[in-house]
Amino acid sequence: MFRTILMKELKDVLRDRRSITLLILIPILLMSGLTFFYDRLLSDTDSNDYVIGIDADVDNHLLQELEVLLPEVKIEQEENLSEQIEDKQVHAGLRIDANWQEKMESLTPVAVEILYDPSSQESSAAYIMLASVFSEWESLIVENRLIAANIDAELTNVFQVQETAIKDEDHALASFLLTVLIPVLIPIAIANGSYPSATELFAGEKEKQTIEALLITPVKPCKVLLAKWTTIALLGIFTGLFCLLIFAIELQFTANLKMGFAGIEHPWGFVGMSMVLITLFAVFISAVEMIFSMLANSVKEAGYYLTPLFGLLVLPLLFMFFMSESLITWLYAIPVLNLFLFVRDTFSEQITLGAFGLAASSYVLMIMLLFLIANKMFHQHRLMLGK
Amino acid sequence: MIEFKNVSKQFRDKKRIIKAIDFISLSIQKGHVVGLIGENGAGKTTLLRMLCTLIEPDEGQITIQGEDIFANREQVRASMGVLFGAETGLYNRLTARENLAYFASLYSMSKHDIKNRIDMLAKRFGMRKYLDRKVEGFSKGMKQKVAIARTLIHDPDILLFDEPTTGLDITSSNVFREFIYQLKEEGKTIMFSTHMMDEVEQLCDDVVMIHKGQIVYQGELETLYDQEGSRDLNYLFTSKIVRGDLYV
Ligand SMILES: Nc1ncnc2c1ncn2[C@@H]1O[C@H](COP(=O)(O)OP(=O)(O)OP(=O)(O)O)[C@@H](O)[C@H]1O
Ligand SMILES: [Mg+2]
Repeated sequence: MFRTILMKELKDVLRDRRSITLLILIPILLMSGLTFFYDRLLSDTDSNDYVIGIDADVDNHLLQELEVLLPEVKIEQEENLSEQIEDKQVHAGLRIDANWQEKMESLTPVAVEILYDPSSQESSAAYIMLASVFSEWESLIVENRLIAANIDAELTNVFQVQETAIKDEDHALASFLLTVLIPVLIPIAIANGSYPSATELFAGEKEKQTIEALLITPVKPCKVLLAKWTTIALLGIFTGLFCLLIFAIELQFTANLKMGFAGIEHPWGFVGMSMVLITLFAVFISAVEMIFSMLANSVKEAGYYLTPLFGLLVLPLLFMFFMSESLITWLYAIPVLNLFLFVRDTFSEQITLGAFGLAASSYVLMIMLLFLIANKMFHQHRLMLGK
Repeated sequence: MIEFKNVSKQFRDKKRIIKAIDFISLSIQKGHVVGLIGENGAGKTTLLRMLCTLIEPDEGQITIQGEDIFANREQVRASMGVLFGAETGLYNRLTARENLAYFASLYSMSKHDIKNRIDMLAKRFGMRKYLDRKVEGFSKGMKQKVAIARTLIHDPDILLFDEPTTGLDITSSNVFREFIYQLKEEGKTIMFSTHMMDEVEQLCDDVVMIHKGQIVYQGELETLYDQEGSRDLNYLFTSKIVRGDLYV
């Protein structure tokens, strides 16, 4: 009987074009779009072709000096620097004392003003670049002055600082993007994949009054509920695993993003654990969708309840920015958040079997609890039949 | 024989208590066609929902052949065909045949029986042409035939219909009437609610008049006509409710 209902529900749902779109097309588009977009983003970050604006009445000598100091930067002479930065015509502006040469010769400090927009990332980066160029230029001049005064130039060198990144910087950035991308996209795809069936099989049946016909058959309501839930969960699991597959394939075609995986010691372990969590999450979220669908009297109403819920799936991303970067095992008991933690901690190689186990068992517990609630609701004729 | 003994059912709606069925008793003879009439909100749907074991009464007992229907729910359900509304209970994306076969298997019929039964019903309802088309594109009349076929799929002895002709045109309503005649011939016990007095006049042996959850008349139509000295059911119903109101 369970199989009969399950097969019928699957047939019914899969004949709907909307569900097919959400099951197949959306995951492909979502994954492809973002995979390749982020990959492009990574390759773009290296080339810093900044445009710097400089006061229009600057002398040629200074321009030549700057062109030597900033070989990759485009320098433009502009009238109103602030406005140009605001309008994104230039990344940052430079204003230098017109008498810079005389001042330099008379050992008087030369006023240099760097204008930038702190609300723009590119502008801030241009500012940092300019500031470091000027400090380099300054050291050079100081050195020359010391030599001219017959003082050992080494006198100014107190430290010899050398930065050594323990990871490839590009790989680290790619890893970071992946830790954001994976736990945001896959759960949303799962929720979307199970959405049409969840709304159709309860709210939709109430709306079309087919639920009454189903409930007056001799089949036990509990069986009906289980079959419907299985349908919804299966479609969710399918979408999740399908996303993972597309992602794995597409990643091979990326230039930079795939480097993010370089840090993971056991990639297959990651894939295996991801599949377990995807499955559990799909069953969990389908139970949540099912419950909201039971509360609604039409597919549309179910949509009103579920859409804000999908927004909540991204919420942990905000918390992630404030959270300690080291492994905090108990946080794995919180659904959805644990997906973000799992991906992050796998990439930083601090995931433990205990944490993974806690996440998995918390889903199992939630699923049992939600089933009890759903079962109780399904037996409430007031909720299922309407007036 | 179906019997209601002192059955009550109330609903709580925003702290207000609604007595949908208020201490009613009635009996339905095997093989009779019973019309259930009452105003909107009188309790017709609630009564039928209780009879098909969809909801349980708060008080009282409902029996079929002396056995409590809730004691043996599954068996009672297997012996009943129920249709709420005129053309409801069908899945639009499935074909007529798939709809019928699905419900048949929910009543635990074998594959072989399902096929034969569908063929038989399709012939009888004249719907062989569109049996393998999706219900989506059907007219109301076509849907109604499939819906009635669905309620008959497991060959039940008792048939319950809740407003089976509401929203249908004259032709489709006549199709329903025709089926009731046929089913009566086959010896089925039938109860249906309606707002059409002529449907009751034409089809029913007995009538149940219900007003604000209480029975104002229950018995044979002919007896009612004799008692009141009139054959105008519409008039009789109206005068019964007015008097019924005085009793309450
Ligand atoms: N599930 C429910 N929850 C709350 N109140 C209900 C519920 N079902 C029915 N009622 C109320 O019980 C009363 C009887 O309703 P019922 O549907 O049985 O009437 P009806 O005779 O079928 O009316 P109609 O002709 O409009 O179909 C109404 O006042 C209705 O509002
Ligand atoms: Mg009704």
